[in-house]
Amino acid sequence: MIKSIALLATLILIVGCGQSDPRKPEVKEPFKSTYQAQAHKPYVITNVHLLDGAGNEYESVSVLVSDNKIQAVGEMLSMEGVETIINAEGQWLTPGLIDNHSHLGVYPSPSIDSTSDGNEMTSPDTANVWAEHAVWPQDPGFNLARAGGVTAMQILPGSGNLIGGRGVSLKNVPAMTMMEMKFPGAPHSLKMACGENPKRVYGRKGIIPSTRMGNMAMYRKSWIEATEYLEAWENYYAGKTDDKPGRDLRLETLSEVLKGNIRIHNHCYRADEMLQMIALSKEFGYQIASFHHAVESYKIADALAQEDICSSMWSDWWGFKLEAYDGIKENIAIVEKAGACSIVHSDSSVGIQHLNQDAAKAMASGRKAGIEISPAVAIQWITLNPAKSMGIDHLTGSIETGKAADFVLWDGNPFSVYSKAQQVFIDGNKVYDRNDSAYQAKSDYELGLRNGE
Amino acid sequence: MKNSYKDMLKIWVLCLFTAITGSVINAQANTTIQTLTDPMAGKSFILLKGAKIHTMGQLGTIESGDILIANDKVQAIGTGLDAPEGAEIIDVSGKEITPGLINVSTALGLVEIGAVKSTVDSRNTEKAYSVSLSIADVINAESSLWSHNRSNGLTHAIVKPSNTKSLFHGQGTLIQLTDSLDHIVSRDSVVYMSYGDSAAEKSGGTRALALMKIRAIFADLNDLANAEDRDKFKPKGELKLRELKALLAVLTESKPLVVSAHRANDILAMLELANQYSLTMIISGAEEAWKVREQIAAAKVALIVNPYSNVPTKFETLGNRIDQMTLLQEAGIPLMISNDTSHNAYVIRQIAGNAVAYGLSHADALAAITKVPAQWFGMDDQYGSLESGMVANMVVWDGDPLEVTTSAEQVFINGQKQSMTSRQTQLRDRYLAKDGRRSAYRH
Repeated sequence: MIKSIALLATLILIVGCGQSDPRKPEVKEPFKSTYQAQAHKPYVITNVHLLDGAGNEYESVSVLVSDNKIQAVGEMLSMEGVETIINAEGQWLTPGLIDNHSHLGVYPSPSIDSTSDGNEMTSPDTANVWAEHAVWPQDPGFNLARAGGVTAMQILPGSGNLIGGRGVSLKNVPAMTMMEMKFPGAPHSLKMACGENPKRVYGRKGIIPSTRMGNMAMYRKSWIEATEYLEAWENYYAGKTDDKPGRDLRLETLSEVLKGNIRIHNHCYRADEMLQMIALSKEFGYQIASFHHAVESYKIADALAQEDICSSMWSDWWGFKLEAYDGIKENIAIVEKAGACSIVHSDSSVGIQHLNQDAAKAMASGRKAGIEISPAVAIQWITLNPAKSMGIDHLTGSIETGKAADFVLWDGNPFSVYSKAQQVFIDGNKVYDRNDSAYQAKSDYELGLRNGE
Repeated sequence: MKNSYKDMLKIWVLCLFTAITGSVINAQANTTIQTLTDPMAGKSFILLKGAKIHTMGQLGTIESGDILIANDKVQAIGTGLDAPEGAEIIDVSGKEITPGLINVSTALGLVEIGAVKSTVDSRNTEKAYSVSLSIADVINAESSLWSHNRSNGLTHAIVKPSNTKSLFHGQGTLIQLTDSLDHIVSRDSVVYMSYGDSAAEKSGGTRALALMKIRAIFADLNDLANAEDRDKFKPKGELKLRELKALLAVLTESKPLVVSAHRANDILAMLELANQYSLTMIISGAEEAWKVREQIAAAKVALIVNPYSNVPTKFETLGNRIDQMTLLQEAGIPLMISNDTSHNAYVIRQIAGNAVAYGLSHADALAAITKVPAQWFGMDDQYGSLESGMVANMVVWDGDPLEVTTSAEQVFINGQKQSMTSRQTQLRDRYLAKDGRRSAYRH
């Protein structure tokens, strides 16, 4: 009798185990990156003036690159087995520049209705849409950005919606498909937007949100649904119920945020609204990676430092709408001084080509206001800090041993208007050379149209 | 006590200078290069000493020079100038001085916040009033954009309206960015017209009709100029007599006509118009101008460009390129820079710096935001360069004026030191201050 009970129990256990197997969460990775770094021979860059992105400046140093990675940085490197030496005397080396707010590919050139794919303004919460599905790799803006030293960027949906959809991190390599650019190992992001844009877009349609009250009510509605969705799946996986929940792309994205797998990038201008968005994130238990267009971060820099939230900012844009009216040129420097994560972003196919100049302007404005910021720190605004906000700072964003060999050789101090990127490298491979047309990619769209001399 | 000590020191300094120099400029002429022969008596003087001066005039660049301002004019410029009695002496060694910057395409004083319609007076949606629209009397010099741009080195600008339905936008007015309400320098001194995509959109969807309309309007204008009784003239083209009369000075008095055009053959169509009627034409946008630069130079047409904005966002700007100013300058075309924005209209100096990075000379780049605009908008007898007798509009910079890490330290308009405070600097100072009170309630 006892034996048979034990047998039964074993059977139940076996059957139970057999049943729980299909209840393991599937690890899905649709639209997976097909990017593969090319092999290259080892080489050393010598005598170069280095801003390493990790906070250091070296006036003359060598960098060893092999197997797509930075292998060593130092004054006396062993060059055993290295055939190629790039003497970069008089040149400056920085990490590849990173823009965490770009719409290249989703609002490409030509800028016409048929290419306008960045804002799914048909519902205030479109967490189900992914920017990567609209990225047009032929956008000539990618090539222009590469000539400006940009090696990676985060492509975000627009700000017409409260929750605009997933953003994607790309390597800025010439490619046929989005997936060939997709940054391996980079988490997805989710674009959210505060303030004027969503309430204007939906107010005109006569539906909620038409006010900031409506904005907040709708964020909370979405997060409540996401919490319930997550619970339903967790209950199912835990065997608490046999009812398998239906899959919902919108709630799937939001629940991945709650699980910490997708990072929030939140368009938000005003200081008071940023603090409300922080309160919202605490209500539902998620972390905001960065506020974007944060023109009023200087008013709450201490709070942003405490919450470990980055601010993605312009050097000098202001006044185009009321929520941008209090923008000041010292914003970035003041946020840096408070010890908060500061980022220069572009949101522009022109600005992305000159991120170094925007950082230079912000650095100079700070200095004029008595906030001394070294070039070694300012370079982080356009390298390591955006990488951090995108969750790829363990892979790129600084010139340190073990990181991807993503870097730019400049013909002078990158914080001068007269300096230009001369050569750009991604994973150790040259992708741009100002003096060699073989490394100046042109997209199909540009062929036969732009008539370069 | 403190004050009286300061006063005593000041008197002592003045006495010292009077003793050394007397009350006239030292006439050691090998160092003083230009002086004004106007009487000196009764004037107030400011002597700026020891800066690198980009005169944009005949003196070129002076590596270490002085400028003597007398009332509103440059009295003398050169090296080793002595201070007249009572002059305020400012040590500007290590600094650089340029004429005040001029942006020839703005809506300064017509816009406060772009997205707040009630604060925008630049955008006209009525087709009937186009050429005749004057914005001169509605320019608001108390706008926050005013002090912001001035404290960043902009001293003059052309303010213009835009018309969303007509090919003509109206009359532009030249302003100075002074604090007092005497900001109008030259009212209704330029007319704006559109060609290209936007003109096609306003003309049945095709450039062909836009061009027909433009040609008919200028034929009317020619007939009007020659009409015995202009009040009885009956236009055949689209513009009514009132509007046509407002355009007349373009034909009869060489009033500048600024035309926006972008594609190479659009530019050629406008050159033909300029040649046919001997117009003083300035083409703005002009992204593909480099393709037809010989023809532009031959037509003696000037350009307003922004090569920094180099993205081929439209089919009519496919030939957009960041180095285009270098090609245009080599062809001998007069060049001006505008970013066509108002909130940061002063950023033209960064664009000029980028043009230098792509091959333009520093002097030509600086001329595109100072001297050339003054020449083409008919004020180079007073503005746009620093020479004795010119109005003392200038900026003292803490470094190379085209470098992005450089800031304006002091701006002079009409010889007067301008306030360097703006709403932005007030916000900055409020949040930099740490006095324990809640930030929004600091005074």
